[in-house]
Parts: sequence; structure tokens; C-alpha cells
Amino acid sequence: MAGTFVGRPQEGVLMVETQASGASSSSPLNEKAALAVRGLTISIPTARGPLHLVEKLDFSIAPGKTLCIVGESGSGKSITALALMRLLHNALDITAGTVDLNGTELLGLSNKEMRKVRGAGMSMIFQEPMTSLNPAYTVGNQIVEAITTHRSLSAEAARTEAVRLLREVNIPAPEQRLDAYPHQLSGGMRQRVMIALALANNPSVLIADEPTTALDVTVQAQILELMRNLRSRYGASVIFITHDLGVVREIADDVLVLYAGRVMEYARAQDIFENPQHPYTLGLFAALPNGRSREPLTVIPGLVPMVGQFPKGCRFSTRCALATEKCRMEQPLLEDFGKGHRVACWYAPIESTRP
Amino acid sequence: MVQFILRRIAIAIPTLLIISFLIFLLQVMLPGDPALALAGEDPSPQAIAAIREKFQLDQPIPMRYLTWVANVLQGDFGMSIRTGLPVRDMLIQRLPVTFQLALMAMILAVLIAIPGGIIAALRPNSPLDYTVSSFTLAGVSVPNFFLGIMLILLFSVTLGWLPSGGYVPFASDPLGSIRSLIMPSIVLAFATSAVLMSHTRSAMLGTLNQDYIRTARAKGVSEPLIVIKHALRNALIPIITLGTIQFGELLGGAVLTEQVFGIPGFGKMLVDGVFSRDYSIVQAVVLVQAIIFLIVTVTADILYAVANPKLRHQ
Repeated sequence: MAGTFVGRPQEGVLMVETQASGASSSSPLNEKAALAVRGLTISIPTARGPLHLVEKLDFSIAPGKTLCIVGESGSGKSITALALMRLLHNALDITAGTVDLNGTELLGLSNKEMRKVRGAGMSMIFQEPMTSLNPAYTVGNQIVEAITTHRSLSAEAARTEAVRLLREVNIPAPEQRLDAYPHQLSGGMRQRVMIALALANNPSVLIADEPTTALDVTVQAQILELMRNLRSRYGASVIFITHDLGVVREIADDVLVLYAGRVMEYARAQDIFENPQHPYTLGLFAALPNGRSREPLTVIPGLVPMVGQFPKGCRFSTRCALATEKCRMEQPLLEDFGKGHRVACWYAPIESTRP
Repeated sequence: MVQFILRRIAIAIPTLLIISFLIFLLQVMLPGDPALALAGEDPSPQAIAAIREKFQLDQPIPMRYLTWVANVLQGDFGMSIRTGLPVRDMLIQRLPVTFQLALMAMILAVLIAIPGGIIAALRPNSPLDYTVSSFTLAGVSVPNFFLGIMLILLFSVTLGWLPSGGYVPFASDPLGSIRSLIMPSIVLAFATSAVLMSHTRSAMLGTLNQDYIRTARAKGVSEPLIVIKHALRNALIPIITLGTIQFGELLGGAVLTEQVFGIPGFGKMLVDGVFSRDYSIVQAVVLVQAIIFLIVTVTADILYAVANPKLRHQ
């Protein structure tokens, strides 16, 4: 399956219009992206004007590829995911940008048209498997609903399809599980059901918002393995939101590092791991436990600033060891330093290699 | 499930015994001697004794309790001390009236409360929501008798659309019977729906914020289905319990409302019984009320389990 994409220039995956490069959107490579997001800005209206939670976000994903969005809590990962599905809380608005799914501009769709996209063209798996299924209905009922919302199948055919989906996500005795209620299943099983729901209509993009965070480690590994298998079998592009760099290393084709609603670094996974450029990315790597030493974990001092308290310049400047007056006053633009490796830092490109 | 129901009923039986004993005791402890009250002016000691013997007031208390329970179990609630008629016949006459009134009020209350609560929850803090809140506040604060009198003034006295009181039996004239109970059911439904509506609103607000609602939206499910199938279905679990208990309260008889509209129901029977110190009537009414309430509570528990899959499978 992966072979299908051999020969495609990797840059295609990263072909984005950034403010820095000012690249025109007419690039021929854009058409190959399953999902292309440009200038996405998510805001919360206040009396003193809108506050931007996520600003000028650009990325795209080629069919069958996996993009990992990483960053600390509060960096805007989850609201980005919800914004793509247009499931943001009422209080939040998408104030700028475009979301292009296989050539359809999602932000311009009516609510009714958008409903046809959700669960069919693009679907989503959530962080909380324990509460994401409706306790009042059986698993079968909820999978069948996902199927029949988008396809006209007879009740019997939909049920057969539901059994097939449960088998796909490796749930034992799927026929019996159809009649189980969510509370009768473990967290891992429920997340498998959520994956089955998301795959029900063979979406071209699957958004997974920290799907393994709430699960214990052995189950995490199983779910990751399952997602990897399904991605290659279904050929869906995956947006995988996580703060676990170990997970990123296992599944990512591309990595987008988000901090306080801004892209800090965006590159192929290999480039990020071998040649991280942004001090924030370096900080994230440094904070990884190495499994050998008994030294305390390295941490990035401080917290992600609150919305409305973002610094004037680089968002990371309040916590960055390298920050200068320029960093604090002027926002660095996301610039391409070759092979589509984009970094928003006045210091880039820095001398490479991991610390 | 069957086991759950049987267990729930088994728990209700000792409760019922305790209640029956308390009702009996309360009766004994009331001030005033019914024999004296019955005997008329200047009674001779023989006449009083005769009355005591006739109504078994001369027996020791435990004996009187056992006799009473044995009789009740056979459907014999004794004779009215005032009229000398069997209390059972009065119960049979009055219960259907109150049942019809309670049913009409409950249907009305549900029809107002559920849609009202849903609408308020869908648009929290909107003018519509505030309207619903005002209705709720009015519903719990306006006294029944006041609302009843106002309705009579408007619909009977001024407009002349509805009878101001009385009751037409359902069997003889169904439409007239419903007409005769419209105003009292509105009065009862007003307070009942107010409580039910505010609970529906908060339960819906709770379920609409659940993760599974987001999942349903992410599946592409339409908004009406999300509200009814996903949110309301879960919100109804506590609402069913509340509604059932409210129905039980209505079945217990609406003392003031029945009084205002002159309805020969259960509540009025109790009031009349108390005023005339007719012990057997008061005893019977309170006991039947307790039984009804027990049945309703057990029903509420069973319905709760039926509506909630988590309980059903335990």
C-alpha cells in the first residue's frame, strides 16, 4: 500500500502556502493533498476584539500519510482538530482560513452539507473512550447509525457491515459484542469501537485526538498497531494529535509542532527527529525520558501562556533560553530551510543534530 | 431484571407494615373521643359503651390493629362513623375521580414540561430560556387555590366556557367529564410541569454537553436526532423517576384543588373525614395513599432500571 506513493516528491506532502514563503496556491502539487489547511485562525470574541487561539495555521496531508500534531496542553491541538470537523464550541469562531478536503472547501459548506462530510469524508476519534459512546444504546446501534447516516443499507446489511467493522478492529466475538452496551466494554475495547465508527464510511481523512492517552500502556501499543494496520488497509490520511514523541516516532510521516496556537516547526518526521531546529522542539526532545539515567527529567521551564497574554514577538520567547530582545518584539515567520523543513525562529537554521 | 423487580417489591412489604402501624397509632393518639362525638347530647354511659363496643373502641390497641389489618386485607375498611356506610364503597367511588384528574394533569404537565425544558436547554440564556424560567418560578410559587379561583373567574364567571366546579362521571359522559376536569388539571399541571420542566432543562443541558453528543455530531447525525435520540434519551432517565413520583403525589389527591372545584375526589374525602373526625375514613384514605405511593415508588425504580442499561444488566 505504501508503495503507491513511492516516487511522489516528499515536498508534495509539505506543500503549503505559508506567510513566509508566500508560495502561490496554484502549485500543482496541492491537488494531491487529501486535506489542505491554509491560514486557519480560530478566535474567541471578546469585548476588546477577537483573541486568536490558533493563528495562520497551514498544513496539508497527502493521501495515506500520517501527520502528527504535537505540542503541550493548551497549544491548540484539539481545537484545531475540532475546527477541521467544524465541531468547535459555539463560543469559538473560525475567523480566517480555508480547509480543503479533496477539493471541497469545508468552511463554505452549509451545516447540512457539512453533516454529509462528517463521518464520511472525514471522521474523528476522541481522547476519552470511556465517555465517547452513548451509554443508552448498544454498540451495534451506534455503529449501524454511523453507517446508515451516510449510506442507504437495509437493517440487515448494515448489521453485517457493523460486524465486519468490529472484526476489522480486532474485537473478539463481534456478533455478540454488537448487543453489548458501552459500559460492558473496557476502555481499550471502547476505543476500538470508536475506531470502527470512524472507519464505517471509509473516510479519506481520519483525525485521532490523543486516542491512546487515556489508555494503559499495553492497550496503547495495541491501538497504535491497529491504527497503523488500518491506515495502510484503508488508505486514509491520518491526523494524529499527541504529546507523546514516542508515538510520533512510530507513526508519523510529517510532524507539525504547535505552540500557543502558532506553528513552531513543520517537517518530515525524519527531519524533525534528526535535525530539530526550533528551541521548543529541542526542548520537547530533551524532556523525553531516556530510560537509562536516573537523573530527574529535563523540563521546559514555565507554562504555555494564557490566551490574551501571548508575547508580542515569538510566542515561545517567554520560556526560550535563547530569546533575545528581537525574539520578544518581533514574531519570526515560518520559513522553509530546504526540503520543506519549515521553522519559525530567528535562530534557524541552527547547527544541527540532536542534543 | 425479574429478580430486581421481585426484590424491590419484597423491600416494599415491611415498609407497608410499618406505615400501616404508624397510621393506626396516629389515629389512636388523636385527641377527642369519637364515641362521645357520636353519642350526641347528654349521652348515657350505656349508650357510650354501646357505641364503643360497636366500633370495637373498647378493645386493647394491638388487638384493634390486628383486627383492622385483617379486615383491610379482605377489602373491608370498616364503616364510616358518621354515615354508617362502608368506607370501601366511598373509596371505590372517589378513587376513579382522582385517578382521572391525576392522569389528565400529568399528561398536560408532560406535554408542557418536556418540550419546554428541551427548548430552554437548546438555547440557554436566550429570551426563550428566561420565559421558561419565569414559568417555572410562577409554577412553584403561585398557590393552587389562587390559580383555581382566577381560572374560575375567567373561564366560568366571565367567559362562561367551562363549569365552575363539580364532576361528571366519565362513564356517563366522557366529554363532559373531561370538560369538568379541565380547569383543575390545568391548576395541578401548572405546578407539576414547572418542577418537571426545570429538571428537564438541567438534565438536557447536562447530556447535551456529553462527549457522546460530540461523537454523534462527528458521525454526521442530524441535529433533531442528536437532541431526541442521543440527548433526550439519556436525560429522561432521571426525569422518568421524577415524573412517576409526581404522578404518585397527584394520585394521593389534591386537597386544595378538589376543594376549590368541589370535586368529589380522594383529597376531598380526606378533608371531610378529618373535619367530621371520621376515623375510619381518615385511616382508609391515608392508608390507600401510602399504598399508592409505595406502588409508585417501586414503579419508578423499575422504570429507572428499564431506562438505564447500566442497571438493567446488573
